[in-house]
Amino acid sequence: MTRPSSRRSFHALGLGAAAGLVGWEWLTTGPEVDGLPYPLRRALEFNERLGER
Amino acid sequence: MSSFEKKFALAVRCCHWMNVPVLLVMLWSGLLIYWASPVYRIGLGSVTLFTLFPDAIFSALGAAYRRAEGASIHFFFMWFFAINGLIYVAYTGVSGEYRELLPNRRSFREAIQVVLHDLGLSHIEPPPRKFNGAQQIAYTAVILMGAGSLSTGLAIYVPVQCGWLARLFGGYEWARWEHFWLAAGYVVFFIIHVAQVARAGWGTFRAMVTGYDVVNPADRRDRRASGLASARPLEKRR
Repeated sequence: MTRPSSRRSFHALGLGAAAGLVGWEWLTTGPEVDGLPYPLRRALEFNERLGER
Repeated sequence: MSSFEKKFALAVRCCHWMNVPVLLVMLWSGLLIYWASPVYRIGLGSVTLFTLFPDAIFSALGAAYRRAEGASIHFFFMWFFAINGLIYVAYTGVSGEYRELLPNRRSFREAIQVVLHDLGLSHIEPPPRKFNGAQQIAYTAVILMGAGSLSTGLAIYVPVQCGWLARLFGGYEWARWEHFWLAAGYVVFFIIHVAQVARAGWGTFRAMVTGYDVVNPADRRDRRASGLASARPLEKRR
């Protein structure tokens, strides 16, 4: 078996961290619905529907 | 000659690293919610050592007057926290890795020994296996804490629909108290965990990124002697 690729794993971690930061930016600065960013508003509505069951 | 040994599966590493930002966001958004009613303290009877937290702390952290924002973030990321935790528990269960993680009868005595060693009060080295007694207790406890956070969180998020759950935890106020102190527990866990990794060295951090640990021949002999040799040693190639 070949030596495991350390570099690839660190690149993946870095990419994951970058994706997380982009995701956070998208989540918190996107268009708002009733004063909240759209994804957060949708999540609250989803939770609410779940609670009604 | 040193060799590589598989230490952490991809699923474990993904769940571990996913948990870092998710837990940080949950703690931060939890603090934004807590600002609205910061009722807890450290003290005994009428003597208060610390108020959790003074207004100055909230202001300094920029956490004041952001309750609604905190709640919306908290109730969004709770899904990531829950699903990530469930994947981890399911993986360790299905793969059988839980056997290495669950504490056994020897773990508690061993954990004391490990703590004494780490504090420099004992020269007895921790056993040369993947998880020593202290790690078994800590890593199992943090999973139970996760389950506790989810269930106490649910009890205070929807106390009407989950009234039975709130009652199970002693009522709404107790569930809230437990939820808060579990969060404080993660902060303590995080500090000790990072300190221990820093103390253990680069190899431990690298193993949680790459999945592989570099093992020298003496370590390998110790592991075999204790019957805990890793399954697949890989020869190191230059």
